[in-house]
Amino acid sequence: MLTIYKRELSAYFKSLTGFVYLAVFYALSGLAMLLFLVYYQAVASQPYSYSSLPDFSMVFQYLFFILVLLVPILTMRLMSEDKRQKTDQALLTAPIRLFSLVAGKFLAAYTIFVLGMASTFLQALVVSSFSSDFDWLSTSGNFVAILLLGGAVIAMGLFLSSLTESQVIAAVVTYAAVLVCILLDAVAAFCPEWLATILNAISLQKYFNQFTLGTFQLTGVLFYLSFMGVFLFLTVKVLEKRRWS
Amino acid sequence: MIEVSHVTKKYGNIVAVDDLSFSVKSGEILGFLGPNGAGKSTTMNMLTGYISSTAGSLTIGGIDILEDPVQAKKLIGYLPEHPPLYPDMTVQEYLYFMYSLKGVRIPREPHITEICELCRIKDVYKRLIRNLSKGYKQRVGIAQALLGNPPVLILDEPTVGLDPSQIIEIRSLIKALGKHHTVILSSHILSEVQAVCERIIVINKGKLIADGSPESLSRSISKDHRLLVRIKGAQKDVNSALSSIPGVKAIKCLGVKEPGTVDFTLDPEEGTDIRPLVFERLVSRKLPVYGMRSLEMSLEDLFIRLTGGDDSVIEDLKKGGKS
Repeated sequence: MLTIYKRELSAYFKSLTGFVYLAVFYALSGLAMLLFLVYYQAVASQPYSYSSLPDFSMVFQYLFFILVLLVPILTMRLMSEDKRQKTDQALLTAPIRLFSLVAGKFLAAYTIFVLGMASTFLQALVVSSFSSDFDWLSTSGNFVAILLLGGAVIAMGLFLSSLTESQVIAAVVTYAAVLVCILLDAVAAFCPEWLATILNAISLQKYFNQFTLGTFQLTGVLFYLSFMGVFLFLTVKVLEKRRWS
Repeated sequence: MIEVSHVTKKYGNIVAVDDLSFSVKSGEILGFLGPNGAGKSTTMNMLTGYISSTAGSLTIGGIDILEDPVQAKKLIGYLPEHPPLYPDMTVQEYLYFMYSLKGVRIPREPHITEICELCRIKDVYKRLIRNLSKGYKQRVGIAQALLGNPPVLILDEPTVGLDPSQIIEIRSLIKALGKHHTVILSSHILSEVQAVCERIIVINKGKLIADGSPESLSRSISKDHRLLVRIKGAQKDVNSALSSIPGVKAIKCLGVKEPGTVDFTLDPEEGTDIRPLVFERLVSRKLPVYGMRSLEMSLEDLFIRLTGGDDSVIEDLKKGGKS
């Protein structure tokens, strides 16, 4: 697993994907931060502002969309490129378990994602140093949420990448899938109740919003973890199925 | 060492490998011969656990590749048809990566240095694989298969893309490896397999059609060679001289290849050596012979012979293989 992990991590920086991802992520999350500060300043300057607390959750609302926009770029080549280059023959005929292969790739993409999120953590540190009543509790809840969400999207992207030889198809399908997962909320509003319950239960955004509102819910954590688990499991099965078909 | 029994592989309705059975003893170099699309690569991919068989079983060193893939794969070094190389890595990085991917226990530096010397890739060691020529890529692929000294080596067309001197090098390398390893080597070049292998298996359309030593194979196919002669003289003189030689089944004029001469091919009747007769006849007609040689049977001819209802050849091969 460590071998695959190291190889994939170095591949991100050799193919520039890692650099580009991090650069764009830093730029966009910096922009989110800027918007937050401008908004906060405007609110704080009003004489009877309803809140003097900097609610950092707003940044995470932006980050949600940035993440959805960027993570498919991280995952698109993970599996499809091996198939196209035929290097999957080396990986699949090596004496390793399929799960450690999948897990190594997942963790490499996740590491890049966490490297991106680290900048937001620094921003939170900076903001908190200027504000005596910075709400670390809700902010850390937000961090947990976004780290879980990232993992879920990466797992799904990894799975979709294993279905195709083309990076472009992998990326496009991942975008579509992520968008569907987000729009489920909106669709649920028009659906009969029984269907709405199901759709809400599998909506990526619903659980995320609960975290940004400042509530820490175990169901949300479990949801994201099982979401990841299911897609990693499915990826292993795709590799296995290729052997069996 | 390797047991393949009643293996069938279907892709949808297409049968790629059809009820194939053979076994390879430890230390044997087995040549796997067949035209394109015969099922060579498919069989090798099944042996290495890359794809599964639709029916039948494959065992490596007594371990079923589907039941305990991790243990079975430890015994195999595999060079696929397209060497599985990462173009963004240097040769060194790639070999280090494969070394740890395979979980090799031999000390790394001396082991990799030794393999690089064997495969002669030391001078490209620090270069990106992307920039290597096809021959070097192929050799890095072979080096990768040798990592960890696996007892079984499976090489899918190892000399493709190499220049003639490299081909000779790689062949002698494979021969040397065959002393300590069990080797399966596929090819569609008859002479290559004859030069390297102790035993040859011929498959066509997924079916085993011959299994024997190279000697028995060449004996049975060289029994009545077609003869090519180049003679100085006019076409009709030569034609009349050749037409009535006893033992010649058919003659065919190939036209003028060299000014003042004509080329003919002669098909002898089975079991007769017509060369002295042809020579004497041409001398008696005062027609100088510029060249005379047996046409080597190509793999295509071999297949036509093996598959075209000529059972005697197959019988011969089977006998030869057993003796």
